[in-house]
Amino acid sequence: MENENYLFFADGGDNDQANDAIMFPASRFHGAVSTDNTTLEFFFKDAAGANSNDDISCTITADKHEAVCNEFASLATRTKTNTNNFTVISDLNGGLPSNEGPISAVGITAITAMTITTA
Amino acid sequence: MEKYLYFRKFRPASQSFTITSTNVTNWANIDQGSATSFMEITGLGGDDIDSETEIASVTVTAVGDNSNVGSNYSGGAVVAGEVVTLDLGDAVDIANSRLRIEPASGTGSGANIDTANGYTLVAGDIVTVTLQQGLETCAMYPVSGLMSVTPAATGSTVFNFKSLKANGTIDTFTVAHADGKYEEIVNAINAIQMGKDKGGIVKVIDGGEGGLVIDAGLAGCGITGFVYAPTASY
Repeated sequence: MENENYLFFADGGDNDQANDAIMFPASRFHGAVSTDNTTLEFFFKDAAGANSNDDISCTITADKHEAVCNEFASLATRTKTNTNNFTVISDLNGGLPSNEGPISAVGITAITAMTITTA
Repeated sequence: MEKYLYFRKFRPASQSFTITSTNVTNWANIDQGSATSFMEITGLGGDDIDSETEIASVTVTAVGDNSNVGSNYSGGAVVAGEVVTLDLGDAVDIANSRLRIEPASGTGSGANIDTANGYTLVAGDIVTVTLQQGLETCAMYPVSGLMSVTPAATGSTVFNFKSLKANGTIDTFTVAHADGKYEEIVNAINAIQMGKDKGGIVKVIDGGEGGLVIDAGLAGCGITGFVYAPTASY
């Protein structure tokens, strides 16, 4: 989709293995739900069209579900005109060289860990 | 621009129960809180509490000296007025909003007795449960995933969304509100969908942070709670 926001997640790996990182068009977002006091799971329609969806399970600061959802909504809907970077929801990879690419933000700081599961 | 609808249950919250002699009689030799007397948590928006992840703590304030408590609590003997925080993993269970505490002693099934972390309650003890955000207590869905909004009763409206986990199915929020507000609710949702981006989530109901927050468009609908039913548990 033209001018679509693309949402980026990366765990603490080196972006060199499956599920180290993933990017979704914002339009494939299905929703998010709390699963305990420090976990919020984001679901996206699976790329392969499987019956189940892709799941980004994020460890967050305790009781910050609302704040994380609010920040996600702001990031996912921000205007992209005249920019060429995609939107970093959370990038926990601190080891990449500075010339690795256009990722220039850590995203939502209340997210401290994540597990990416694709259907 | 996409909008995101947000639902959050009433957390944090706490409720206390003063144990009666009838409770003690009914609970003899079984998990305390089962049988014919329940410690049933109520008044938190209508949805059942079914997960221990929703419990932040359970404390017991002893009405008097009690030596029928787990060995991990003051060496197995508490004194009047002593407040003990129970071990959530071993001694506390929750289902259908009903809180159960394993006793430390008794002649019932050994599976229901925990000599280390159980607590045998007596009449006059005060049990206080504090709830936190936990399994399925808050959720956010894009408006584009909203499939339908249908009345269920004069004071109840169902929001059907594309399921988070399973394609081809729906997740539902059954929202409790003032009688006769269905049309006002669907009008408000339509206005939210068509309106300007607010730069964040739209709160259909937010019971967090000790108060109730509702989007201005829905503020006159008397929304008081909701029951969340995702297709599959997480």
